[in-house]
Amino acid sequence: MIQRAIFICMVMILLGTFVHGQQSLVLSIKPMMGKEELILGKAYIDARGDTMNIETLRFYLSNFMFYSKGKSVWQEKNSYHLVEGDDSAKRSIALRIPPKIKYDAMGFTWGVDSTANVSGAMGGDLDPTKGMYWTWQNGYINTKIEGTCSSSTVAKGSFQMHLGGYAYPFRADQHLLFSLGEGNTLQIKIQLEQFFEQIDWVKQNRIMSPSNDAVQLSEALSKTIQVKQ
Amino acid sequence: MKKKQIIFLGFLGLTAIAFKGKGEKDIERPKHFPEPTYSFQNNPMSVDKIYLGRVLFYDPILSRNNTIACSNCHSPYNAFTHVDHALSHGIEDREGKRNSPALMNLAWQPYFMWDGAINHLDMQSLFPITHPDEMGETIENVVMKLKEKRAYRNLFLKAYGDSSITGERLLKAFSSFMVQLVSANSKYDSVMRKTSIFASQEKRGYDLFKTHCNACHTEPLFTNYRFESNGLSLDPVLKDIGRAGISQNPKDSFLFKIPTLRNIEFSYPYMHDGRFKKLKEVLNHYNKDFGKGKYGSVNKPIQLSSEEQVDLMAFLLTLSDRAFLFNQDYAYPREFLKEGK
Ligand code: HEC
Ligand code: HEC
Repeated sequence: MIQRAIFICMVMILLGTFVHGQQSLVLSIKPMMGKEELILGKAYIDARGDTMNIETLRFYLSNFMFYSKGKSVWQEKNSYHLVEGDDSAKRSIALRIPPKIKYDAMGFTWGVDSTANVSGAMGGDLDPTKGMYWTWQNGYINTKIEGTCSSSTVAKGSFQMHLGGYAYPFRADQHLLFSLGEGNTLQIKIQLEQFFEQIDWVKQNRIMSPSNDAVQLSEALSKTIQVKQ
Repeated sequence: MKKKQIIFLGFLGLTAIAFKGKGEKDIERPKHFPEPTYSFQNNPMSVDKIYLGRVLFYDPILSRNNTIACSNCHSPYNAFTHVDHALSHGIEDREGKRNSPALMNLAWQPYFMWDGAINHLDMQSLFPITHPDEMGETIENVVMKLKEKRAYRNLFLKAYGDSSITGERLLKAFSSFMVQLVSANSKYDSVMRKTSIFASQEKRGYDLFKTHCNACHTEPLFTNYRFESNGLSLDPVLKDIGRAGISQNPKDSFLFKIPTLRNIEFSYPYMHDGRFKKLKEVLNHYNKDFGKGKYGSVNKPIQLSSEEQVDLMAFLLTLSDRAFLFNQDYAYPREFLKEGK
């Protein structure tokens, strides 16, 4: 009898996870060059007349958190998402928010928080085989942008930006908060062109470790982010 | 119906038994040591995982041209350091910038490398694998090479319950093996356990040690893991600025992690650049040049008489742990590496 009860319970639990469907919020991440969505490997002329060609764009979005009237109401567990510029499947994030949760704002981190940076080996999108972990020192690279630019003076006009750093005074992760209405899709737009306009290509074409430049550019990049419903 | 349920439950129970606690293994936790700092909760140890880590540690498959294993620079009979080389030798005989440290009691160590560049043992292995002068590989490629070997797929299956191979699993297997390297069975330790006593010369050396050395090489781990300078002059070729290279704080210039003195008899050559071959040279340095560095501590040369130096040396030799050096559990896994592939 007890066994039967246990068995039934287990089946119910299993079914429960399917039947009690969850509201999901789908975020599509759109890196933009002007009005167009970025295509890797394509040449763009930016507002300053530089020819830009972006070959790599990869970054982490993490710790999605939802608020209602200023109070936190839901937080994604193990919330680390590596967004890949060349993989449309990796430009979209589905969050499984329980249906009863009502929210009016969403917060997230651009980059990887310091806890994840000091906790040893991690799996999933944080697995070091993803190529987003510095190996000669500690820490995740929050943002990788690589390509060529006509006014980048060093190394045949190529640039490499590996922005990261989890410890004071070079902490590069950025915390962002946006107010939201209802709906189950969202666009997160990153206005890369605005970001590139702020770069001093002569000095800032190779950033490979935590530094003032890395912090400053991470801030600049996060300020170009818009959320649209 | 009822029969089926019982079989089903029985099966569940069996799998639970099979997976829970199978081959769990803790590290040795000596009573006279503090609590270890390694995050065991994120990496539960098992006999199979430790074995996987051990095999990986000795397998040159980790390097780009399959020639260099971790054990090339960290040899078990020398307390896991690189014997005879002041600066470690890596792939294609490239010379590194530093002397490879002895590996032991890593579960107690809060950060790694001479300058503390690495904040967690799990992440340590990434450095040599990817360093162009050490193993010159990428972690992605190591994972690919391992996936191609059925013998490794089996080891991962045993260690993790399924055969998928990821960077996380690889790194945690390394840690599982390395935290086992506990050295706590030297003569010093048996004196602490009150199963032995120091000879009178060793006892005099121990007193000198407590006066002159223990502030930095603090018992029972024989380091307090701080960054300090012991007054070594700057090598004009290597120009190694130590901790400051990581912290970017000029005050940390020429500071290095205080190394343990356990098994010091075997872990020659000494210092971050291996400049001293003999312990006698080290004592000479402390006797004459200690504290002369521009940065770091305010120590003065200790000026021991030659008898006192001999006493101090006698004490340092009580830190040798032969049971550790010749522990077959840490040795080259002949049965796997000779036949496994
Ligand atoms: C080419 C030689 C070489 C190889 C191969 C090598 N190491 Fe090392 N190892 C070193 C050197 C040199 C250091 C110190 C580097 C520094 O401080 O800058 C070191 C440091 C370490 C440390 C930190 C010890 C401490 O006390 O801070 C650990 C742990 C370690 N290595 C483990 C490994 C593992 C695991 C492997 C294989 C994946 C490996 N090493 C391969 C040379 C090597
Ligand atoms: C102010 C702190 C301090 C004191 C006191 C001190 N040391 Fe050291 N010791 C260090 C540091 C730091 C290093 C590493 C230096 C380097 O490589 O640049 C070191 C390195 C060593 C090494 C080399 C270890 C290795 O694996 O390469 C030996 C041996 C040693 N010390 C012995 C002693 C003895 C014996 C005494 C007492 C006479 C002593 N130390 C006192 C800080 C100290």
